[in-house]
Amino acid sequence: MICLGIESTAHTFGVSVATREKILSNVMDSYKPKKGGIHPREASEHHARVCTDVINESLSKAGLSHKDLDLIAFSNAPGIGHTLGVGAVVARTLSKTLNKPLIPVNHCIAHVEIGRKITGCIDPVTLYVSGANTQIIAYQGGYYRVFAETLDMGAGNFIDSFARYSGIPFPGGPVIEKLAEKGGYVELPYSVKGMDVSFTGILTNLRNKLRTHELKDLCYSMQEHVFAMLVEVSERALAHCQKNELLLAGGVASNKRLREMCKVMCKERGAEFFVPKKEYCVDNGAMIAVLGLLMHDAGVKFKKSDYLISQRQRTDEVMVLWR
Amino acid sequence: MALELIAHGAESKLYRDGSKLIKHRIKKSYRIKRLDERLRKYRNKREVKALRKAYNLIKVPKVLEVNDYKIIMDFIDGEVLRDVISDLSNEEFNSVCKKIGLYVKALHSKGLIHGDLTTSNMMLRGSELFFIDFGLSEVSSKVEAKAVDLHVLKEALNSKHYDIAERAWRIIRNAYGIIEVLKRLKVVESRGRKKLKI
Repeated sequence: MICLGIESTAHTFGVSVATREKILSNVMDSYKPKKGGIHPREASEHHARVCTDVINESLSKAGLSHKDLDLIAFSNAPGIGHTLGVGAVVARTLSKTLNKPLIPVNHCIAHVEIGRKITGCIDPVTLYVSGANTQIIAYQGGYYRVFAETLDMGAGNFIDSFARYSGIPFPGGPVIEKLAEKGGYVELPYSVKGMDVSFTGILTNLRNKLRTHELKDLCYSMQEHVFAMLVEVSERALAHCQKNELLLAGGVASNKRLREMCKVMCKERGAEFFVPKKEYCVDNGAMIAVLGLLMHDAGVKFKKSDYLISQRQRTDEVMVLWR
Repeated sequence: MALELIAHGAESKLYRDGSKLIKHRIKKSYRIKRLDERLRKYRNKREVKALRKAYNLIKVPKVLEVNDYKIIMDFIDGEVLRDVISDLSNEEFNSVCKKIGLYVKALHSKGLIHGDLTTSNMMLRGSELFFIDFGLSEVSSKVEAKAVDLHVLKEALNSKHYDIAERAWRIIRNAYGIIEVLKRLKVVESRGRKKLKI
């Protein structure tokens, strides 16, 4: 069974070819704004421009052609409407012309499933931190349930916004990580509400401090405060769910300091820490293909409306039949 | 005398010493020292303050002794509600949920926000219900803060006790009964991320 997975929820257009046993290729092309954040129309134009090349490259890296595919999976939710639309059209076209089944996949759950597949963890609490999403997800009673979440913006978005105010271009994460290496401590707000976190207050605070403090100190302190908040709620979720595996996923999972903090927390708790390599943390087609295969094998049935894109579908709306 | 470790929560270790409970906010090496100490001291102080205030309003453990990172309080020889809520009889269940609603109402009426209302932070001793763990509590008379407090409780029920959440919530809401806050809760819930909005 060979599955082609298409990811297009935000700035990355990713295509992967995978079988049940192996990921054969994982190709991606990301839209980079000239200034500011992701412009939805420009991002979708980018995706439309690169889609054929990315698909062809993915197939050729896997050493296969269109005719070998048995299944087309695509991320239909949640994300930016414009870009989701491109992926959906491409996926439908392929499915129709090749006469192969089409599987709509939830992006957030795909992050969890690729993590489980790559790292071999079994029943983790997942800290999923990307641009738009910051959730703590754990499986319980037939659904991936959201135990903790940001009350306002995603951690990645927050970091990018701070970067923008500081004159650092998108994506700001890697530059901030570099600057933070030489920074010192400045006290910032620390905002944990129960299991939830919130970032807007810290953003305003940082913005005001830009005039009076050195950027490297703010970068360092921002990372220390924000990641400590994320790790703290992860630990709460581990204790609350009585689970002992933590999986880190999403674009922000590339940050070395966040990885290190998760690792230390798990060690102190006697839990196990898992994180896939960067290529499978960021948005990628492989996770879509992996989840597509799982859903296909579980015999998940779809209504016509399930094939439509949904910008706001929640992680806990998807019934999990493959576990 | 040997201390018996009875629980390892997310931020503290709990030891039993006869009829006393020692709550030790442990060091977290993942945080830098300055932040770690700031949070532990602040939360310890805040918890003591809230426990003392709440003691006159609802059932909470009595604070006996305090230092920077430790609170010594009465040991509650009961069970965590999280573990037993599904085994309660109908009558017990209704009574516990009603108490939760009344307790939260009593705290909110005095401007005390618990901050982490989950079934892990409630204990049942016979038919007596106790609220514990006020480490994230705050004092606020704002409707918004109270609504978020309820929101945390509702989410905790929905995620951990999805099978009984709806039933429990109906009783809790009715017992709580502060219309202004319940109205605001709807606003909190409708804020984009949490619910499907079309």
